[in-house]
Amino acid sequence: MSRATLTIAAGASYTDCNGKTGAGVLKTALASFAAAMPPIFPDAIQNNRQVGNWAIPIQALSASMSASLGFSTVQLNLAADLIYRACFAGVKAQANGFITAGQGTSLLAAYNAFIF
Amino acid sequence: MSYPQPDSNASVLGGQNFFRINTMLQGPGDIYESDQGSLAVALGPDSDIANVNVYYFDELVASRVNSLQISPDRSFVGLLAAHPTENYPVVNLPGRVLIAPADQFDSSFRPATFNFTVGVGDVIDFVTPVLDVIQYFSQPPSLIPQRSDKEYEFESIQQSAALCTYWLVVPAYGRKYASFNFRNNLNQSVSIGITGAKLGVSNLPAAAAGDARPSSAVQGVIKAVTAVAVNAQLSSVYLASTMGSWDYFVISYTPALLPTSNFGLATHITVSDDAL
Repeated sequence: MSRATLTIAAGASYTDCNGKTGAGVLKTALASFAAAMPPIFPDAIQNNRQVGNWAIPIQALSASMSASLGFSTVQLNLAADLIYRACFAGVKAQANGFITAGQGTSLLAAYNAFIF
Repeated sequence: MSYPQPDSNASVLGGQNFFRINTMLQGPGDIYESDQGSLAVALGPDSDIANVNVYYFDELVASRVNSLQISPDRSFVGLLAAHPTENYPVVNLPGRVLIAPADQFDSSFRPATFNFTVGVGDVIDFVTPVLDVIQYFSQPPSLIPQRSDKEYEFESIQQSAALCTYWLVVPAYGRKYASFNFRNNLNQSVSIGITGAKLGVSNLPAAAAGDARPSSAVQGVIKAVTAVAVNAQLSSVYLASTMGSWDYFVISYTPALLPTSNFGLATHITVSDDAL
């Protein structure tokens, strides 16, 4: 099973981040997702940045989390919100032709690999 | 928007002492960037969005990313440097200043009692919220962060199937006061109600076929549904201090009217940051 679309992934971000929190791997999951974004959205292409720039606050949140963090509602909310926004940015950018369908698919694949 | 977004470098080259992002939002994923540092960041006068996150390069924190939030009550005054020639670690992206709404806007929001039946179901319209943020390149003598009051006036509503509801969604983000006035000059009674809606990040089970909303929402009654007779008026006042803070004002008109003419059902809304 995986999330079928970026819109569904956006809506599932809280559920899926909650799962990573419960497993104690939310910090790693966020870092991996953030690291996966720049290769998908090269910074040299300006239109990519409206999605790719979300990697920066996601990475920052991951870096601020303790590796041994227990359940934290606050950090879970922050993580879910950032992932939700990154996925939504992909949805809108693809709908408006600023990124390709392949880039949208790659973002969804990164979500399913690291956040789902 | 509005992508590609305005270029902050052009503002500098053009001799402006500020860079302004003034755009209608596409959705909650909107994020904008600036290559320029500034001496102050504040909401602009036209912003519907109340809370805006600013991310910037900061050598004093391990991740090199720091953030702050500006609002109608709190601008940021101080040197906020951009480092576009240095990279944020790990993601290796240039150290630009990033600007993103902290409030949520999702046009796939639907009220709790929305009728999703395709073809004969309810109809919804959004007043798309505006994000207005200003980076000042010179020290302003004083910052007045207050947003402008906004007025919305509609002399008709969109036609839809009989016995369904027409929904009008107006930005409320952090407004302290609003007045609503409706005048029914049609030839039939119309029931009008007002709720507040606050969006959240969590998926809900689909309410019905056609329901694809990714965001959840909490709703609260501001004005219970009231029948407005022919040639009658309905008025209501909203105060955040007693009715809570919402992302949207959601107005329902039931029944939505027969597909002839809805001209004559007037709506007049004023929103303000002053608790008048």
